Amino acid sequence: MPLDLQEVLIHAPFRNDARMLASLLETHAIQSTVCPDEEALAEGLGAGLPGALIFTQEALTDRVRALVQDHLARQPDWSELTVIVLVEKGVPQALLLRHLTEQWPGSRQVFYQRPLATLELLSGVQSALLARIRQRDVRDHIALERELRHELNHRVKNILASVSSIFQMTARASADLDELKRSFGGRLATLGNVHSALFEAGGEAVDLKGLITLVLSPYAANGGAHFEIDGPAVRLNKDAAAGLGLTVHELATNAIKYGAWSVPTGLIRVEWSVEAREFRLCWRETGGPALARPSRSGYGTRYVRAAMQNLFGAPPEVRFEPSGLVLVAHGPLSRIDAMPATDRNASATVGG
Amino acid sequence: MRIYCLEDNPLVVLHLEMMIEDAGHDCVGSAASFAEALPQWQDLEFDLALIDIDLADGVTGMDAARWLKERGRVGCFVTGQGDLARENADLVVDIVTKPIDETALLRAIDLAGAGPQPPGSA
Repeated sequence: MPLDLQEVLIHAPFRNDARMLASLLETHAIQSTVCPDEEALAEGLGAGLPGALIFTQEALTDRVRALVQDHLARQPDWSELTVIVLVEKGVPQALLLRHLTEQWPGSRQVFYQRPLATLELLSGVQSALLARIRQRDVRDHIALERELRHELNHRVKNILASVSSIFQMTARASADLDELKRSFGGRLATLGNVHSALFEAGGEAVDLKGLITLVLSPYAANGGAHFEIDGPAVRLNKDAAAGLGLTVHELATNAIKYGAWSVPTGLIRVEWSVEAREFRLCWRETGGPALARPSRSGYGTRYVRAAMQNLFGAPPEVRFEPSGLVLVAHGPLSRIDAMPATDRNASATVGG
Repeated sequence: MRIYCLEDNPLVVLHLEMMIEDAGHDCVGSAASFAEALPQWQDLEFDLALIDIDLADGVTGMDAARWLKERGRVGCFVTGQGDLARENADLVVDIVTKPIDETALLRAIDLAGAGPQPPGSA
């Protein structure tokens, strides 16, 4: 950003004033630009937000006052510009002060009498620049808040779209209201659990093992259903966490209805591996009744296929073995892990 | 009709697929990002693409709709970003806002079906 709130613009077109001011500021490491005429001042004020302005009183022509007025009107809400005016001793200042206050709202005006006390001027400029740093912090906070509000809006909309779709599809597949209540409630609770896991993980990364445990453990409470999980640490991004969480929920529901968890001896093993940045997940049911491939796929099966397609870019492999259902899904780890997008691009070019 | 879904939320993809199939149409493919869809679109024939605006690779739905329009193909925004969709309404045959109303979706499919037909097709 040009100027960026720390550069002082000087407009003092007579005698040596401008040069002396600039060199005084320079010896104290304060960046400044001299605007020798009104055109240069107009250009300087158009280039961004200066740290402060310094004028000599005789330089304040109608046009210069209008240029400053125009700049102040265009500055953002958080900005308050300090304008320093160097006035002649003995000239009555009350009128000028009143005029400038009226003409330049959104500015703080400081008057110094000539001959100048350089220390006084320097401390005035320094406090103006400090105020600008605080204003810049306010600016950054406003920008961050706007970004967060935008992101929140986006996520809420996305969740509502998910819930709406889950409801419509569950309603379609339900024989009666009881089934709708039970199925929809289960899916909504899973979505809620995934959201909680994401929130507790700081909003960005969820551990895969923790996620699967979270979804499956309610079924295993009080010596209920049996499951084993095994795999290396994988940190999931939020989309992968939602997709895999709901997938595990649908597979578990299916296992209770038809698969391993429909009998007390049944076991579900969930294993995953990462080799050469390729992720591979296997869901294996054993000890349940022999399964035949269903003639028509229900919501759960279709969801799992769609979610795996979405996460890995390929549908999962589903086998109905004599011992039980086996599902294998695999794809690049980069599609599900919580690495920021920029790092992901970098590792792709470096050969990751 | 052959319909393609460009949508990054798998639940919404599935819901769209179900509605498309119930209405007697075919869902011929789906992708979560424009980058993923583009190589498929080079060869894949379809009569309508349902396009979300905010996708897995960013706000690329407009680019996707423009890509199709420049080739005389048909897209329809299905999105929660109603304002952006309306600003770019010239790129698509219709706009369906989320949460998706089935009637609105079927109307969009009908509109696409009634669109310009290739020469020779009755």
